Amino acid sequence: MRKLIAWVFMYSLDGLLADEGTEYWQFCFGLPGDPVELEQKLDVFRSAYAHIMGRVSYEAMAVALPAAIDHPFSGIMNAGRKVVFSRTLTTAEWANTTIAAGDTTEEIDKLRRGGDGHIVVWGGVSLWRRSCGLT
Amino acid sequence: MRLDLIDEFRADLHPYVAGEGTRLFDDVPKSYQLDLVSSTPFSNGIVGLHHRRPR
Repeated sequence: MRKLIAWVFMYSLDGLLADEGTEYWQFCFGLPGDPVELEQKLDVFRSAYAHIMGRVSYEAMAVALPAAIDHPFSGIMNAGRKVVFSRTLTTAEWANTTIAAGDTTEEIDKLRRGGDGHIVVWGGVSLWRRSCGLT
Repeated sequence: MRLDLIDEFRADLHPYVAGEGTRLFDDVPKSYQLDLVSSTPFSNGIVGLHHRRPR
C-alpha cells in the first residue's frame, strides 16, 4: 500500500497557510532558499509514484511549470505521473496527467493499491481536507 | 472505507505570525495524535516538520 504524503509549503506559527498576495505570502517568497531544504523536497518528489492535486492547484502548476525550465520542481513535475481530482475538467494538457472524476476516497484507494512507495498530495486545501475525511 | 488517508504530514514552519490566511484543519471533527518523525531547522529560519499518523 502506497503512503500518502501531504506537504504544506507555507505554514505559519499560528497555523495558517499563505493566501496569494498577502504580506505573509510575500514574506514566504522573500526568504532565501536553503539547498538542504530544497534537496529534501526534491528527494521526496523525485521518488514519488504519483503526484495528486485538486483542480486549482493543477491549473496553477500546469501553466507555470512546463515553461519554467529553471524552476527546481519543473523537470520532476513535468515528467512525473500526475492525477488531478476534478469533476469539471474534461482535458488535461500537462504531460502525464490523468483526470480522476470519481469519489475522492475511492480514486485515492485505487492509486494506493498495487505497490509500495509514496504519493505526494499537493493540495490545495480542499483536497487535503477531503483526504483527511474532514469534509 | 478509510477516511484518514493522509499517512504523513510535512509542513514548512515559517518564522512568522501570519494573522491572516487559510486554516489547514478547519472544522476538524475530532482531535488525534501524530508521531513526530523529524524536525529539521534550516538556515532561512524554516523548521521542516515531519509527522505521521500512528497505524
